[in-house]
Amino acid sequence: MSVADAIAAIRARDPAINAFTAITADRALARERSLDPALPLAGVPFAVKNLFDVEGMPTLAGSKINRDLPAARADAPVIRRLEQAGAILVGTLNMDEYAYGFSTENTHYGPTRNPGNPQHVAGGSSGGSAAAVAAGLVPLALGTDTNGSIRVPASFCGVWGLKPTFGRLDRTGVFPFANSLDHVGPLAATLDVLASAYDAMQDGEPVRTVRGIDGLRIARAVGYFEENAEPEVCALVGAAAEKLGVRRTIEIPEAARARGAAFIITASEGGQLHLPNLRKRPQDFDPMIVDRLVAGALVPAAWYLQAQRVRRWFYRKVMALFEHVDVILAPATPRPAQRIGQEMFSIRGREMPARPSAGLLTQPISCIGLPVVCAPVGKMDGLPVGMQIIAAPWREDHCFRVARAIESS
Amino acid sequence: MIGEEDLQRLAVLNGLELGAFGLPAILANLQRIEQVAHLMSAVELRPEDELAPEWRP
Repeated sequence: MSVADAIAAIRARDPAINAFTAITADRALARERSLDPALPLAGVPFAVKNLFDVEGMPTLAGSKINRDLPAARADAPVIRRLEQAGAILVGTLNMDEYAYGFSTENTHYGPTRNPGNPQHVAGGSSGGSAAAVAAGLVPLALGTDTNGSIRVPASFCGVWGLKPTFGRLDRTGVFPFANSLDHVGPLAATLDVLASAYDAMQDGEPVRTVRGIDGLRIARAVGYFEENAEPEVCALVGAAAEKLGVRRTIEIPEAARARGAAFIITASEGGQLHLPNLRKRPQDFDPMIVDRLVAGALVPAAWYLQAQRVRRWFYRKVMALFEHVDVILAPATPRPAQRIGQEMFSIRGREMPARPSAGLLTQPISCIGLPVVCAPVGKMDGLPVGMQIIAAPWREDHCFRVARAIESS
Repeated sequence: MIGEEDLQRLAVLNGLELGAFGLPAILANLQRIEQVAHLMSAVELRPEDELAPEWRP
């Protein structure tokens, strides 16, 4: 597909989904004219969550307030790395304001709709990224993940997503949410594109050609990860594990406390980041997030520091597990995407607040920065759900080996 | 449990004028955080869980 065709498709089809907040047509067409066709991502159109710096544009981060910021003077380095590999930036994408949400129901820019059913959310906070890929508007998008913001929308939209190890990819030029938890990563229509994009942005061993699960010790997470997912979702993960010949199960201890630690750290760091604007222009925040930001800004230091200690305590417990396994499989979301505007949903008969509960299964994992590939594994009630393929820190290659096996099973 | 007076004091300390916000929603959020913080405080930590390397004489 040429860049002109991709841009025409975005203009024609995006209004029904609302994934894009800007189209960078002139820049993309100029880039295409100077393209080296031998590059690994030559001519692949991509778009970025609108918290990445794009030269000449204000970095919105889903907000109204950031419209007043000066335009970025340079692209974020990860954008430059993708373009050096031949990919072509065609636009920027919708998100929850300041990445504080799992649904991309943004009051300023409207909700992003799930391409599988436009009455449902796309997930968030990288909802525009997942929806643009799922709708076939771009084969590749960049997102960020603090508590699940790549994996939740990847699961809800049925696309591949990667949250690499904390610190693996450069966050320069990326508007922060909670600095000690933020990750950058790609979402893609195919595993080939996901791996090639990751390789273009990282400095470690390439993963594009890794194959085979021989010798890998793989287990399926039970306990917390089954208790907080619908039986149909667990069955889909179980079926994927079965196809790989995985019969072993494992319990990740204290996952609920890890989620609690991530919750407090996020609230406090996010609230403190926005405290100056909460004082100066409170009326300009999205009502969907402002109460949480204010509460987070008031968190006593003792609570925050204890949450950071618990994070280290949990990290030690999980690292002990990786003495015995290499990869852990777990559902990515408790159930498929809820309807836009839906306040509550049910998990195993328990009524839960829908928006925060979408991250029940992702937050304990990002809390300690483990690498995760989110793989589409099937549908429940006609909408996609995904599976987390979790490995030890810096072992993205293990995630990709299992993902390849799932893709070909 | 944190109450409305505590919330008002915290807001003053942080230079925030709470009148611009929905007070009950903020209080409910902070009380939820407090509940989770109690779960955290029940964890038995070891010296290696401290944020900095353990200090030794």
